[in-house]
Amino acid sequence: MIFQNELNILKTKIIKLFLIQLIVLIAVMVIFKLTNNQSLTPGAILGLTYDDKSLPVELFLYGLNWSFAIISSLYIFMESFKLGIQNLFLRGSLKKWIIVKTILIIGYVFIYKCIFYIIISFIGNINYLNFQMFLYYPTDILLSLIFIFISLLVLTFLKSYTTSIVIICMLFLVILIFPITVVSLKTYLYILLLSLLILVGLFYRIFKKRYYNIYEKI
Amino acid sequence: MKIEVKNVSKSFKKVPVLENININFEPGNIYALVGRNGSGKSVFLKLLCGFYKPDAGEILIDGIDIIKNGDFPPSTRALIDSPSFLPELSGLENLSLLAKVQSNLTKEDIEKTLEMVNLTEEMNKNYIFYSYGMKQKLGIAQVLMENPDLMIFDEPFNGIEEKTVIKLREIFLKLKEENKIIIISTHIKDDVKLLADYIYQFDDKRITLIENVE
Repeated sequence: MIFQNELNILKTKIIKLFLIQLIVLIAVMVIFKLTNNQSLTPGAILGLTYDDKSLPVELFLYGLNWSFAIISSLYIFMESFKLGIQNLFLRGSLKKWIIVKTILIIGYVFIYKCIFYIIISFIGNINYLNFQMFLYYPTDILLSLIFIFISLLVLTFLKSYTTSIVIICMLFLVILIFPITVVSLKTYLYILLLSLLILVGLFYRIFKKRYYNIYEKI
Repeated sequence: MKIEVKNVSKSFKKVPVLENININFEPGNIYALVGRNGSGKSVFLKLLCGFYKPDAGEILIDGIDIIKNGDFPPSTRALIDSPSFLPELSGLENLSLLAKVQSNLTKEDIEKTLEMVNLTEEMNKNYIFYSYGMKQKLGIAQVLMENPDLMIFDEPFNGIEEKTVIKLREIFLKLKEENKIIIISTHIKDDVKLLADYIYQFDDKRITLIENVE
């Protein structure tokens, strides 16, 4: 039931966030196009690819797309903490709730990206919708993991969400200045595993810091 | 249910907040904890709920140390700090969501609880549009709805109109007759004078019994 209710809550939130993000992305693209006179591929317009790394516009839109995906997922995650860690703890369902939440957030980021891939397929008549699409863009996932890692690090040490989000955005732009080259699948998997381990550790730390000693019961 | 707090101490960043607290809570009584802001009342309530771990001492519920052996305190509901609910859902939906976690309350049961706290008219309104008093009422309803054995309220009457406060007092007295333990903390002693069987004062990191109505 928690899963179903969480989905219902997220539905309205996601639709709103998605529309806002789409509008901002298109607005940024239009402004850049008007001021820079550069031609962009449909993928670049929606911030899905940055095929031509010499074009800072593409890189910026790419970064913006990922920023939106990750920041909004973190926002949704933190927002639903409002349900009350205390209320759930006293009902003995905190562990279950955190598992559900984590699954939903990971799902959200991927669904978010998929929706953009569907849109690009319509706009550009390009077949991005295949099983290996994420492997075509391993940097997507890698970048997101590094970004999540830094975001959680910031959230761990700062109490204000607003300040944290601002710092996270700035850090994300710094990451984008040094774009990661496509690595081999083996190396990629190693990094993925390492990042996941760090993520688990950070989640644990965040809980310890923010939510008293409840974490000891999880 | 019987609660025993034995020699409990708690400090934050080496600053002691509570020192050597000893108190027992028996069923069929209303306990009031009074003290100025920052005297450690809320910290004490969080210790009772298992949100904080005491630095020393133990908290036993029916003889079981909830910190060491328990998963979460049995049959306990609490309103501590500000009530927290999902803003996109109505008051009724928020309570339904929480009720589904452990109990099998019907919609009618929840509506009845909302009526008890005079929130019927606003129960279908989204939580985001609730006033401070309405949020407080929903927080109280969240505690009451599953009829737990131990009910903990931190400043429950804050922001609530007199009519509802009077009604809540009657409800608390009725629950007391049903053998429940009710613990209310407040910084205004007059809030609980009409209600409490025992009034404890929090001061200088210690707890003292200042009034025993019985």
